[in-house]
Amino acid sequence: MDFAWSAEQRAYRDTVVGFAREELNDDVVGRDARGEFPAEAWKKCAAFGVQGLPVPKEYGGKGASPLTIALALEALGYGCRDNGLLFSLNAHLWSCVVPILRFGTEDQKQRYLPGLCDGTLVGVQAMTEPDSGSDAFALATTASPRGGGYALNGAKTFITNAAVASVFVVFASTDPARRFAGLSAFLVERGDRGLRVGEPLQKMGLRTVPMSELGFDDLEVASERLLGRPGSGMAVFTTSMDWERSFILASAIGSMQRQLERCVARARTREQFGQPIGKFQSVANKVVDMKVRLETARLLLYHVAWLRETAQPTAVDSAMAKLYLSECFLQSSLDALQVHGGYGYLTEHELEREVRDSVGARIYSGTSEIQRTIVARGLGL
Amino acid sequence: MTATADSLRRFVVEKLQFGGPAEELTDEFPLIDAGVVDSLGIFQIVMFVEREFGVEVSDEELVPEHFSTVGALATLVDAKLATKRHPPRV
Repeated sequence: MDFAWSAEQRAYRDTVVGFAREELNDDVVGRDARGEFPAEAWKKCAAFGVQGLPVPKEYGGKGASPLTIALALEALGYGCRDNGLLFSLNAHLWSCVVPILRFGTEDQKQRYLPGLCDGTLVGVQAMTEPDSGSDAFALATTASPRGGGYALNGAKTFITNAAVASVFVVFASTDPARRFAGLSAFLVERGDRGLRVGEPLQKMGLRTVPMSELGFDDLEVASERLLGRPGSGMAVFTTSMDWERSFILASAIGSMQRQLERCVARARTREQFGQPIGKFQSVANKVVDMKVRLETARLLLYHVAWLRETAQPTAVDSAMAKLYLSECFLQSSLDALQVHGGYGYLTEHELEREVRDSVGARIYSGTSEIQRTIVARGLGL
Repeated sequence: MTATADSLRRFVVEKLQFGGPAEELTDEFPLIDAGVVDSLGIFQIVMFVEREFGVEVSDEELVPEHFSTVGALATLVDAKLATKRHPPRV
Protein backbone atom coordinates (compact mmCIF):
# COMPACT_ATOMS: atom_id res chain seq x y z
CA MET A 1 0.00 0.00 0.00
CA ASP A 2 1.22 3.47 -0.83
CA PHE A 3 -0.86 6.45 0.20
CA ALA A 4 1.86 9.01 -0.42
CA TRP A 5 0.49 12.00 -2.31
CA SER A 6 2.21 13.40 -5.34
CA ALA A 7 3.12 17.08 -5.45
CA GLU A 8 0.28 17.55 -7.89
CA GLN A 9 -2.22 15.92 -5.53
CA ARG A 10 -1.01 18.00 -2.57
CA ALA A 11 -1.39 21.15 -4.63
CA TYR A 12 -4.89 20.08 -5.65
CA ARG A 13 -5.81 19.48 -1.99
CA ASP A 14 -4.65 22.99 -1.09
CA THR A 15 -6.68 24.41 -3.96
CA VAL A 16 -9.79 22.56 -2.79
CA VAL A 17 -9.35 23.79 0.79
CA GLY A 18 -8.93 27.36 -0.43
CA PHE A 19 -11.99 27.12 -2.68
CA ALA A 20 -14.14 25.63 0.08
CA ARG A 21 -13.11 28.20 2.67
CA GLU A 22 -13.72 31.11 0.35
CA GLU A 23 -16.86 30.04 -1.45
CA LEU A 24 -18.91 27.58 0.63
CA ASN A 25 -19.24 29.02 4.13
CA ASP A 26 -21.56 31.94 3.56
CA ASP A 27 -24.04 32.25 6.46
CA VAL A 28 -23.96 28.55 7.39
CA VAL A 29 -25.52 29.30 10.80
CA GLY A 30 -28.38 31.24 9.24
CA ARG A 31 -29.01 28.73 6.49
CA ASP A 32 -29.00 25.91 9.03
CA ALA A 33 -31.59 27.76 11.10
CA ARG A 34 -33.76 28.36 8.05
CA GLY A 35 -33.20 24.90 6.54
CA GLU A 36 -32.03 26.55 3.33
CA PHE A 37 -30.31 24.66 0.51
CA PRO A 38 -27.21 26.54 -0.75
CA ALA A 39 -28.07 26.68 -4.46
CA GLU A 40 -25.27 29.13 -5.25
CA ALA A 41 -22.68 27.01 -3.44
CA TRP A 42 -23.93 23.98 -5.39
CA LYS A 43 -23.24 25.79 -8.66
CA LYS A 44 -19.81 26.88 -7.46
CA CYS A 45 -18.96 23.28 -6.57
CA ALA A 46 -20.01 22.17 -10.04
CA ALA A 47 -17.89 24.86 -11.68
CA PHE A 48 -14.97 23.68 -9.54
CA GLY A 49 -15.56 20.08 -10.65
CA VAL A 50 -16.83 18.42 -7.47
CA GLN A 51 -19.99 16.89 -8.97
CA GLY A 52 -17.97 15.36 -11.78
CA LEU A 53 -15.09 13.95 -9.74
CA PRO A 54 -15.56 10.26 -10.71
CA VAL A 55 -16.91 10.96 -14.20
CA PRO A 56 -14.67 10.62 -17.28
CA LYS A 57 -13.84 13.87 -19.05
CA GLU A 58 -15.74 12.80 -22.15
CA TYR A 59 -18.98 13.22 -20.15
CA GLY A 60 -17.94 16.51 -18.57
CA GLY A 61 -16.27 15.17 -15.42
CA LYS A 62 -12.83 15.37 -13.85
CA GLY A 63 -11.93 11.71 -14.30
CA ALA A 64 -10.33 11.64 -10.86
CA SER A 65 -8.93 8.40 -9.41
CA PRO A 66 -10.44 6.97 -6.20
CA LEU A 67 -7.54 8.17 -4.03
CA THR A 68 -7.75 11.64 -5.53
CA ILE A 69 -11.50 11.64 -4.90
CA ALA A 70 -10.89 10.76 -1.23
CA LEU A 71 -8.32 13.53 -0.98
CA ALA A 72 -10.60 16.08 -2.61
CA LEU A 73 -13.59 15.22 -0.42
CA GLU A 74 -11.46 15.31 2.71
CA ALA A 75 -10.15 18.72 1.70
CA LEU A 76 -13.70 19.87 0.98
CA GLY A 77 -14.74 18.84 4.51
CA TYR A 78 -11.76 20.66 5.99
CA GLY A 79 -12.56 23.90 4.22
CA CYS A 80 -16.37 23.75 4.13
CA ARG A 81 -18.34 23.89 7.38
CA ASP A 82 -21.71 23.15 5.77
CA ASN A 83 -22.15 19.41 6.39
CA GLY A 84 -25.58 19.53 4.74
CA LEU A 85 -24.06 20.69 1.45
CA LEU A 86 -21.37 18.01 1.71
CA PHE A 87 -24.01 15.35 2.34
CA SER A 88 -26.04 16.60 -0.59
CA LEU A 89 -23.02 16.40 -2.89
CA ASN A 90 -22.26 12.87 -1.74
CA ALA A 91 -25.85 11.71 -2.25
CA HIS A 92 -25.74 13.17 -5.75
CA LEU A 93 -22.41 11.53 -6.59
CA TRP A 94 -22.83 8.02 -5.24
CA SER A 95 -26.54 7.42 -5.54
CA CYS A 96 -27.16 8.96 -8.94
CA VAL A 97 -24.01 9.83 -10.88
CA VAL A 98 -22.16 6.55 -10.27
CA PRO A 99 -25.16 4.27 -11.05
CA ILE A 100 -25.68 6.06 -14.37
CA LEU A 101 -21.97 5.91 -15.09
CA ARG A 102 -21.76 2.18 -14.29
CA PHE A 103 -25.10 0.92 -15.60
CA GLY A 104 -26.38 3.54 -18.01
CA THR A 105 -26.64 3.07 -21.75
CA GLU A 106 -24.60 5.41 -23.90
CA ASP A 107 -27.75 7.44 -24.55
CA GLN A 108 -28.48 7.69 -20.83
CA LYS A 109 -24.93 8.78 -20.09
CA GLN A 110 -25.06 11.43 -22.80
CA ARG A 111 -28.47 12.64 -21.61
CA TYR A 112 -27.73 12.96 -17.88
CA LEU A 113 -24.02 13.00 -17.00
CA PRO A 114 -23.02 16.38 -18.49
CA GLY A 115 -25.83 18.13 -16.59
CA LEU A 116 -25.13 16.21 -13.40
CA CYS A 117 -21.49 17.33 -13.64
CA ASP A 118 -22.04 20.98 -14.55
CA GLY A 119 -24.59 21.63 -11.79
CA THR A 120 -27.69 22.11 -13.90
CA LEU A 121 -29.07 18.75 -12.72
CA VAL A 122 -29.29 17.54 -9.13
CA GLY A 123 -29.41 13.78 -8.68
CA VAL A 124 -31.03 11.61 -6.08
CA GLN A 125 -31.74 7.96 -5.35
CA ALA A 126 -35.10 6.70 -4.13
CA MET A 127 -34.85 3.37 -2.33
CA THR A 128 -36.03 3.71 1.28
CA GLU A 129 -39.75 3.33 1.98
CA PRO A 130 -41.85 3.80 5.10
CA ASP A 131 -41.76 0.04 5.77
CA SER A 132 -38.35 -0.85 4.32
CA GLY A 133 -35.30 0.84 5.81
CA SER A 134 -32.46 -1.45 6.86
CA ASP A 135 -34.27 -4.27 5.07
CA ALA A 136 -34.00 -2.15 1.95
CA PHE A 137 -34.90 -4.87 -0.54
CA ALA A 138 -38.29 -5.44 1.09
CA LEU A 139 -39.70 -2.45 -0.76
CA ALA A 140 -43.30 -2.26 -1.95
CA THR A 141 -43.05 0.14 -4.91
CA THR A 142 -43.95 -1.70 -8.10
CA ALA A 143 -43.17 -1.23 -11.77
CA SER A 144 -45.78 -2.96 -13.93
CA PRO A 145 -45.42 -3.40 -17.68
CA ARG A 146 -47.57 -0.91 -19.58
CA GLY A 147 -47.54 0.06 -23.23
CA GLY A 148 -43.99 -1.04 -23.94
CA GLY A 149 -42.73 0.64 -20.78
CA TYR A 150 -43.60 0.56 -17.09
CA ALA A 151 -46.01 2.19 -14.65
CA LEU A 152 -44.56 2.99 -11.23
CA ASN A 153 -46.71 3.01 -8.11
CA GLY A 154 -45.61 3.45 -4.51
CA ALA A 155 -44.02 5.81 -2.01
CA LYS A 156 -40.51 6.57 -0.77
CA THR A 157 -39.23 8.44 2.25
CA PHE A 158 -36.03 10.03 3.61
CA ILE A 159 -35.07 11.00 0.06
CA THR A 160 -32.09 13.34 0.22
CA ASN A 161 -32.08 16.20 -2.32
CA ALA A 162 -35.63 15.35 -3.44
CA ALA A 163 -36.94 18.92 -3.25
CA VAL A 164 -34.19 20.24 -5.52
CA ALA A 165 -33.56 17.16 -7.65
CA SER A 166 -34.17 16.82 -11.35
CA VAL A 167 -33.10 13.18 -11.87
CA PHE A 168 -34.26 10.32 -9.63
CA VAL A 169 -32.85 6.79 -9.63
CA VAL A 170 -35.95 4.94 -8.44
CA PHE A 171 -35.98 1.33 -7.32
CA ALA A 172 -39.16 -0.65 -7.88
CA SER A 173 -40.13 -4.26 -8.07
CA THR A 174 -40.81 -5.72 -11.50
CA ASP A 175 -41.27 -9.17 -9.91
CA PRO A 176 -42.43 -8.80 -6.28
CA ALA A 177 -42.42 -12.55 -5.59
CA ARG A 178 -38.65 -12.64 -6.06
CA ARG A 179 -37.92 -9.85 -3.54
CA PHE A 180 -34.37 -8.53 -4.09
CA ALA A 181 -34.01 -10.58 -7.26
CA GLY A 182 -37.05 -8.89 -8.77
CA LEU A 183 -35.88 -5.30 -8.38
CA SER A 184 -35.22 -2.91 -11.23
CA ALA A 185 -33.90 0.65 -11.34
CA PHE A 186 -35.53 3.46 -13.32
CA LEU A 187 -34.55 6.99 -14.27
CA VAL A 188 -37.38 9.34 -13.37
CA GLU A 189 -37.32 13.01 -14.29
CA ARG A 190 -38.72 15.95 -12.37
CA GLY A 191 -41.39 16.73 -14.90
CA ASP A 192 -42.76 13.21 -15.21
CA ARG A 193 -46.50 13.02 -14.69
CA GLY A 194 -47.36 11.06 -11.55
CA LEU A 195 -44.34 12.16 -9.51
CA ARG A 196 -45.18 13.72 -6.14
CA VAL A 197 -42.47 15.42 -4.06
CA GLY A 198 -43.46 16.04 -0.45
CA GLU A 199 -42.60 18.99 1.75
CA PRO A 200 -39.09 18.93 3.25
CA LEU A 201 -38.98 16.80 6.42
CA GLN A 202 -37.88 18.58 9.60
CA LYS A 203 -34.80 16.91 11.04
CA MET A 204 -32.18 17.12 13.79
CA GLY A 205 -29.17 18.00 11.62
CA LEU A 206 -27.98 18.36 8.03
CA ARG A 207 -30.66 21.01 7.75
CA THR A 208 -29.24 22.72 4.68
CA VAL A 209 -30.02 19.69 2.55
CA PRO A 210 -33.70 18.98 1.94
CA MET A 211 -35.11 15.53 2.55
CA SER A 212 -38.63 14.59 1.45
CA GLU A 213 -41.10 11.86 0.74
CA LEU A 214 -41.79 10.85 -2.86
CA GLY A 215 -44.90 9.34 -4.39
CA PHE A 216 -45.45 7.62 -7.73
CA ASP A 217 -49.01 7.57 -8.99
CA ASP A 218 -49.16 5.55 -12.18
CA LEU A 219 -45.97 7.27 -13.27
CA GLU A 220 -45.31 5.98 -16.77
CA VAL A 221 -41.75 5.60 -18.01
CA ALA A 222 -40.53 4.28 -21.33
CA SER A 223 -38.35 1.18 -21.30
CA GLU A 224 -35.43 3.45 -22.29
CA ARG A 225 -35.58 4.77 -18.72
CA LEU A 226 -34.69 1.41 -17.26
CA LEU A 227 -31.23 1.67 -15.68
CA GLY A 228 -29.56 -1.66 -16.28
CA ARG A 229 -31.58 -4.69 -17.24
CA PRO A 230 -34.89 -5.77 -15.67
CA GLY A 231 -33.98 -7.50 -12.40
CA SER A 232 -30.61 -5.80 -12.04
CA GLY A 233 -31.84 -3.34 -9.41
CA MET A 234 -29.88 -5.15 -6.72
CA ALA A 235 -26.66 -4.79 -8.72
CA VAL A 236 -27.33 -1.07 -9.25
CA PHE A 237 -28.12 -0.53 -5.58
CA THR A 238 -25.24 -2.54 -4.11
CA THR A 239 -22.74 -0.92 -6.46
CA SER A 240 -24.03 2.50 -5.50
CA MET A 241 -23.92 1.63 -1.78
CA ASP A 242 -20.40 0.28 -2.06
CA TRP A 243 -19.14 3.53 -3.57
CA GLU A 244 -21.19 5.58 -1.13
CA ARG A 245 -19.92 3.74 1.94
CA SER A 246 -16.37 4.14 0.68
CA PHE A 247 -16.52 7.90 0.32
CA ILE A 248 -19.56 9.45 2.00
CA LEU A 249 -17.61 10.25 5.15
CA ALA A 250 -14.37 11.34 3.49
CA SER A 251 -15.39 14.93 4.18
CA ALA A 252 -15.90 14.04 7.85
CA ILE A 253 -12.15 13.39 8.04
CA GLY A 254 -11.62 17.03 7.07
CA SER A 255 -14.24 18.12 9.61
CA MET A 256 -12.53 16.09 12.33
CA GLN A 257 -9.17 17.66 11.43
CA ARG A 258 -10.73 21.10 11.74
CA GLN A 259 -12.34 20.19 15.09
CA LEU A 260 -9.02 18.88 16.40
CA GLU A 261 -7.15 22.06 15.44
CA ARG A 262 -9.81 24.19 17.14
CA CYS A 263 -9.59 22.07 20.27
CA VAL A 264 -5.79 22.21 20.43
CA ALA A 265 -5.89 25.99 20.06
CA ARG A 266 -8.60 26.23 22.71
CA ALA A 267 -6.78 23.94 25.14
CA ARG A 268 -3.63 26.02 24.79
CA THR A 269 -5.22 29.43 25.28
CA ARG A 270 -8.22 28.95 27.56
CA GLU A 271 -7.02 29.28 31.16
CA GLN A 272 -8.75 27.97 34.26
CA PHE A 273 -7.29 27.54 37.74
CA GLY A 274 -4.27 29.56 36.57
CA GLN A 275 -3.17 27.41 33.65
CA PRO A 276 -4.24 26.40 30.12
CA ILE A 277 -6.95 23.76 30.26
CA GLY A 278 -4.77 21.53 28.03
CA LYS A 279 -2.51 21.04 31.04
CA PHE A 280 -5.30 19.12 32.73
CA GLN A 281 -5.05 15.46 31.75
CA SER A 282 -8.83 15.08 31.49
CA VAL A 283 -8.85 17.68 28.71
CA ALA A 284 -5.56 16.61 27.07
CA ASN A 285 -6.68 12.99 26.96
CA LYS A 286 -9.86 13.95 25.17
CA VAL A 287 -7.87 15.86 22.54
CA VAL A 288 -5.42 12.97 22.16
CA ASP A 289 -8.31 10.57 21.62
CA MET A 290 -9.62 12.89 18.91
CA LYS A 291 -6.20 12.76 17.23
CA VAL A 292 -6.01 8.95 17.38
CA ARG A 293 -9.54 8.66 16.06
CA LEU A 294 -8.77 11.04 13.18
CA GLU A 295 -5.62 9.21 12.10
CA THR A 296 -7.10 5.71 12.31
CA ALA A 297 -10.24 6.79 10.48
CA ARG A 298 -8.14 8.48 7.80
CA LEU A 299 -6.18 5.26 7.26
CA LEU A 300 -9.40 3.28 6.76
CA LEU A 301 -10.59 5.84 4.22
CA TYR A 302 -7.32 5.78 2.29
CA HIS A 303 -7.21 2.00 2.45
CA VAL A 304 -10.65 1.54 0.89
CA ALA A 305 -9.82 4.18 -1.73
CA TRP A 306 -6.59 2.34 -2.49
CA LEU A 307 -8.52 -0.92 -2.85
CA ARG A 308 -10.73 0.82 -5.43
CA GLU A 309 -7.70 2.37 -7.10
CA THR A 310 -6.21 -1.10 -7.52
CA ALA A 311 -9.53 -2.72 -8.58
CA GLN A 312 -9.87 -4.96 -5.54
CA PRO A 313 -13.12 -5.98 -3.80
CA THR A 314 -14.35 -3.40 -1.29
CA ALA A 315 -17.71 -4.62 0.07
CA VAL A 316 -16.45 -5.41 3.58
CA ASP A 317 -13.88 -2.62 3.69
CA SER A 318 -16.38 0.03 2.63
CA ALA A 319 -18.75 -1.17 5.38
CA MET A 320 -15.92 -0.95 7.91
CA ALA A 321 -14.98 2.52 6.70
CA LYS A 322 -18.59 3.74 6.88
CA LEU A 323 -19.03 2.23 10.34
CA TYR A 324 -15.80 3.51 11.84
CA LEU A 325 -15.75 6.96 10.29
CA SER A 326 -19.34 7.68 11.29
CA GLU A 327 -18.76 6.60 14.89
CA CYS A 328 -15.53 8.63 15.05
CA PHE A 329 -17.21 11.70 13.55
CA LEU A 330 -19.94 11.71 16.18
CA GLN A 331 -17.54 11.16 19.08
CA SER A 332 -15.13 13.78 17.80
CA SER A 333 -17.98 16.26 17.44
CA LEU A 334 -19.12 15.57 21.01
CA ASP A 335 -15.57 15.90 22.34
CA ALA A 336 -14.99 19.16 20.49
CA LEU A 337 -18.14 20.60 22.03
CA GLN A 338 -17.10 19.40 25.51
CA VAL A 339 -13.60 20.89 25.25
CA HIS A 340 -15.22 24.24 24.47
CA GLY A 341 -17.60 23.95 27.44
CA GLY A 342 -20.50 26.39 27.48
CA TYR A 343 -19.22 28.13 24.35
CA GLY A 344 -19.39 24.86 22.47
CA TYR A 345 -23.07 24.69 23.33
CA LEU A 346 -23.78 28.03 21.66
CA THR A 347 -25.01 27.97 18.07
CA GLU A 348 -22.73 30.80 16.97
CA HIS A 349 -19.61 28.72 17.71
CA GLU A 350 -20.76 26.10 15.19
CA LEU A 351 -19.86 23.05 17.28
CA GLU A 352 -23.34 22.06 18.41
CA ARG A 353 -24.36 21.97 14.75
CA GLU A 354 -21.62 19.46 13.98
CA VAL A 355 -22.94 17.23 16.76
CA ARG A 356 -26.43 17.38 15.24
CA ASP A 357 -25.03 16.80 11.75
CA SER A 358 -22.84 13.87 12.77
CA VAL A 359 -25.61 11.88 14.46
CA GLY A 360 -27.11 11.18 11.04
CA ALA A 361 -23.86 9.62 9.85
CA ARG A 362 -24.56 6.53 11.97
CA ILE A 363 -27.92 6.11 10.22
CA TYR A 364 -27.73 7.09 6.55
CA SER A 365 -26.26 4.79 3.91
CA GLY A 366 -26.91 1.83 6.20
CA THR A 367 -26.94 2.09 9.98
CA SER A 368 -23.93 1.13 12.07
CA GLU A 369 -25.80 -2.05 12.92
CA ILE A 370 -26.17 -2.96 9.23
CA GLN A 371 -22.49 -2.23 8.57
CA ARG A 372 -21.59 -4.64 11.37
CA THR A 373 -23.91 -7.24 9.83
CA ILE A 374 -22.11 -6.92 6.50
CA VAL A 375 -18.70 -7.24 8.13
CA ALA A 376 -19.89 -10.24 10.14
CA ARG A 377 -21.07 -11.96 6.95
CA GLY A 378 -17.69 -11.18 5.42
CA LEU A 379 -16.09 -12.98 8.31
CA GLY A 380 -18.29 -16.01 7.65
CA LEU A 381 -20.41 -15.46 10.77
CA MET B 1 -21.02 -32.06 -11.96
CA THR B 2 -17.82 -30.02 -12.14
CA ALA B 3 -15.18 -29.37 -9.52
CA THR B 4 -16.26 -25.74 -9.58
CA ALA B 5 -19.85 -26.69 -8.83
CA ASP B 6 -18.77 -28.99 -6.01
CA SER B 7 -16.69 -26.28 -4.41
CA LEU B 8 -19.58 -23.81 -4.65
CA ARG B 9 -21.98 -26.41 -3.28
CA ARG B 10 -19.81 -27.00 -0.22
CA PHE B 11 -19.68 -23.27 0.42
CA VAL B 12 -23.46 -22.89 0.16
CA VAL B 13 -24.07 -25.85 2.48
CA GLU B 14 -21.51 -24.81 5.06
CA LYS B 15 -21.88 -21.02 5.05
CA LEU B 16 -25.36 -20.10 3.82
CA GLN B 17 -28.90 -20.94 4.83
CA PHE B 18 -29.17 -24.41 3.29
CA GLY B 19 -30.43 -26.77 5.97
CA GLY B 20 -29.97 -30.11 4.21
CA PRO B 21 -27.05 -32.33 3.19
CA ALA B 22 -24.85 -31.46 0.19
CA GLU B 23 -26.30 -34.22 -2.01
CA GLU B 24 -29.73 -32.58 -1.86
CA LEU B 25 -28.31 -29.34 -3.25
CA THR B 26 -28.50 -30.15 -6.94
CA ASP B 27 -27.14 -27.91 -9.69
CA GLU B 28 -30.73 -26.84 -10.42
CA PHE B 29 -31.90 -26.15 -6.84
CA PRO B 30 -33.39 -22.60 -6.79
CA LEU B 31 -31.11 -20.82 -4.32
CA ILE B 32 -32.83 -17.43 -4.40
CA ASP B 33 -36.44 -18.54 -4.66
CA ALA B 34 -35.95 -21.04 -1.80
CA GLY B 35 -34.43 -18.32 0.40
CA VAL B 36 -31.01 -19.99 0.64
CA VAL B 37 -29.28 -16.94 -0.81
CA ASP B 38 -30.35 -13.45 0.26
CA SER B 39 -28.83 -10.13 -0.75
CA LEU B 40 -26.05 -10.43 1.82
CA GLY B 41 -25.53 -14.03 0.81
CA ILE B 42 -24.64 -12.83 -2.67
CA PHE B 43 -21.86 -10.73 -1.13
CA GLN B 44 -20.58 -13.82 0.65
CA ILE B 45 -20.62 -15.85 -2.56
CA VAL B 46 -18.80 -13.09 -4.45
CA MET B 47 -16.11 -12.90 -1.78
CA PHE B 48 -15.76 -16.68 -1.80
CA VAL B 49 -15.53 -16.88 -5.59
CA GLU B 50 -12.95 -14.11 -5.78
CA ARG B 51 -10.85 -15.68 -3.03
CA GLU B 52 -11.24 -19.32 -4.03
CA PHE B 53 -10.97 -19.03 -7.83
CA GLY B 54 -8.98 -15.82 -8.21
CA VAL B 55 -11.51 -14.25 -10.58
CA GLU B 56 -13.37 -10.97 -10.26
CA VAL B 57 -17.15 -10.65 -10.30
CA SER B 58 -18.01 -7.25 -11.72
CA ASP B 59 -20.81 -4.98 -10.51
CA GLU B 60 -22.73 -5.63 -13.71
CA GLU B 61 -22.67 -9.38 -13.05
CA LEU B 62 -24.48 -9.06 -9.70
CA VAL B 63 -27.75 -10.09 -11.32
CA PRO B 64 -30.07 -12.84 -10.05
CA GLU B 65 -29.58 -15.19 -13.01
CA HIS B 66 -25.93 -15.73 -12.07
CA PHE B 67 -26.82 -16.62 -8.49
CA SER B 68 -30.09 -18.47 -8.99
CA THR B 69 -28.58 -22.00 -8.87
CA VAL B 70 -25.24 -23.67 -8.19
CA GLY B 71 -25.17 -24.62 -11.87
CA ALA B 72 -25.59 -21.02 -13.04
CA LEU B 73 -22.92 -19.84 -10.66
CA ALA B 74 -20.53 -22.58 -11.77
CA THR B 75 -21.11 -21.61 -15.41
CA LEU B 76 -20.18 -18.00 -14.61
CA VAL B 77 -17.06 -19.01 -12.69
CA ASP B 78 -15.94 -21.57 -15.30
CA ALA B 79 -16.32 -18.99 -18.07
CA LYS B 80 -14.15 -16.60 -16.09
CA LEU B 81 -11.55 -19.28 -15.44
CA ALA B 82 -11.45 -20.13 -19.14
CA THR B 83 -10.91 -16.47 -20.02
CA LYS B 84 -8.20 -16.27 -17.40
CA ARG B 85 -6.40 -19.29 -18.86
CA HIS B 86 -6.86 -18.19 -22.46
CA PRO B 87 -7.22 -14.41 -22.56
CA PRO B 88 -8.78 -13.14 -25.79
CA ARG B 89 -6.35 -11.75 -28.34
CA VAL B 90 -6.65 -8.05 -29.02
